[in-house]
Amino acid sequence: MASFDRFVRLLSKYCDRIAQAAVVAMMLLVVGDIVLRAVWRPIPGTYDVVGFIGAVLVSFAIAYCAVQGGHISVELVVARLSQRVQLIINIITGILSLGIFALVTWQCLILAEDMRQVGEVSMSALIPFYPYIYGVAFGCALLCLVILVDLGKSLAEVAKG
Amino acid sequence: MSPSTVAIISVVILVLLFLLRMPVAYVMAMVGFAGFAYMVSVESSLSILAKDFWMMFSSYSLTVVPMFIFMGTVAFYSGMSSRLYDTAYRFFGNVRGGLALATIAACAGFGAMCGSTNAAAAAMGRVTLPEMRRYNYDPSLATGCVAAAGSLAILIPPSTILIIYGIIVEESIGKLFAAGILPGALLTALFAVTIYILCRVKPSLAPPGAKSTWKERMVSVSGVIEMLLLFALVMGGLFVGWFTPTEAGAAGAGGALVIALARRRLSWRGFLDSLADTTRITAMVFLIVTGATIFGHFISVTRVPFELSEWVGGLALSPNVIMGFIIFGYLIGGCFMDSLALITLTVPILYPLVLSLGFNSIWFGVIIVLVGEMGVITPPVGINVYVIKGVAPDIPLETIFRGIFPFLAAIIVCIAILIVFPQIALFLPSFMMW
Repeated sequence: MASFDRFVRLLSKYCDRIAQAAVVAMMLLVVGDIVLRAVWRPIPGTYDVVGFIGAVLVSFAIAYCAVQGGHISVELVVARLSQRVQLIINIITGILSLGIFALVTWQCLILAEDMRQVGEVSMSALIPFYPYIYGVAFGCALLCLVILVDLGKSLAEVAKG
Repeated sequence: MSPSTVAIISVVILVLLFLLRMPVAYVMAMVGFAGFAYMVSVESSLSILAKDFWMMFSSYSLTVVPMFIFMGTVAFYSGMSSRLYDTAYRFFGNVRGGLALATIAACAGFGAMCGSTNAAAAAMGRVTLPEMRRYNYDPSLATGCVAAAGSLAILIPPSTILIIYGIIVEESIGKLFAAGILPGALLTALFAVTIYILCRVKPSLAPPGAKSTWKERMVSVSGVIEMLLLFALVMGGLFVGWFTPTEAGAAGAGGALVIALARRRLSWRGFLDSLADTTRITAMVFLIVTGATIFGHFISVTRVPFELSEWVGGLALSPNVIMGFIIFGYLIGGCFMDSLALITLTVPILYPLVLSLGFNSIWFGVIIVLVGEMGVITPPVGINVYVIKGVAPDIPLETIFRGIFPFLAAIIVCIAILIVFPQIALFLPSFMMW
């Protein structure tokens, strides 16, 4: 369990590094486009590529954001309840969270496969969509693992009593 | 079960799950998905789920969010914010609430470079919060004023909300931008008055600091110059047409990096930290916006917004009273939904009603922005508050929400003034030809 926890944390952290690289890439591409457009000609397909970089950025960042507790929740009520009740609530909301992101992952895989078969490409750069949708699916799957680890911890705590 | 009953039950479940500490974004996505599946079909709900995630994550217009967040984190980690606030403190520090006033002014200025309320709150929160806390400001006032003033970004052009409104109702975006300027200045002044009153009533909220000598003040001014350069780059570039509002984010981030490197103020560690913060806040904002979109799709199939506007339109009341109801409806709706989702959802429905009541479409655009500003700060779904929470994780959410109420009152006063004097919004656009 502990090693699985460490694995998920490390994996999300390294994925977040990819998201960070995407931030730099997005900035360089847009700035490069602005500059080159002024002095020579625009970089073709910037509009499409910037959207794809955005998809990579967000997909690879959501899991590590969850590891850091970055996804906002309302602390108002639960913080005042007993430890045990808090754990049980964590388990219920953990299962619900896992459920919704498992669905998103599954559906993104289907959407990506559909797009691959149809051969759907972006408007100007003609880049296929599907690898990036697989990226979104991967990011959501990783988020599922993070939720699963937290769920496992809560279950272990409850079992311990 | 009638669609309205389904909508009401789902809102109850939504709030219940919020209170159980389930992340807001997850709840909106889940309830939206389940509701849509119940109302339409499981298959279409499943397929919309994946499409919404893909469309939002890969949205070109939303890429301005991480770029402005990055600009803010670079400005923060290179110490620009500290130097800027040092200047503000030198000049206003001996006044009660001086730094909060400077925050409002800085947010208004930043609003002129940024069209997204979340990005503005994130960037300015990064810049201003550490300083206000350094000078022992009440956390509630400090966070509340940034969360509220960050929303000025969608009123002062450029503005994503005004662009989207313009597209929906086919109104000139140039005129809409012009219409935002004077109400933006008015709301900035009202926020400043709010801080003044708060500090008069409870002086301990924002302790006055030491008075600086004019020599100290003049020396500190160098800290503002880099910020002005960045302002000039982003604003000038937009005006001259070097880049679009969406590209301005990347230009600003690039400009901030160049300035930081030229002044040798950004360490490698600081650069990595600014990137790490950017991805964390971006992930949080995008997931919430995506969740709100999914929930919005469900609410629109319940037709509740339609029924509501039909019902209001059928009342035998004066136009201003009905406008009051509409604004009240947005205030309530903004509590539960993301402003952008709420606006994109309701404007197409309310617009014919608003025109038939004799209101001007440009004026209504400004009103929509103001109700959007309320929506981004009202609990439980006030995105700016969550953005500020992302910037200052140690401050409880309740503290921030408590801080926004005086500023919410200021926005309501601003709306009331605009209802009585619509000319404030319509004066500048009347000079525009396009």
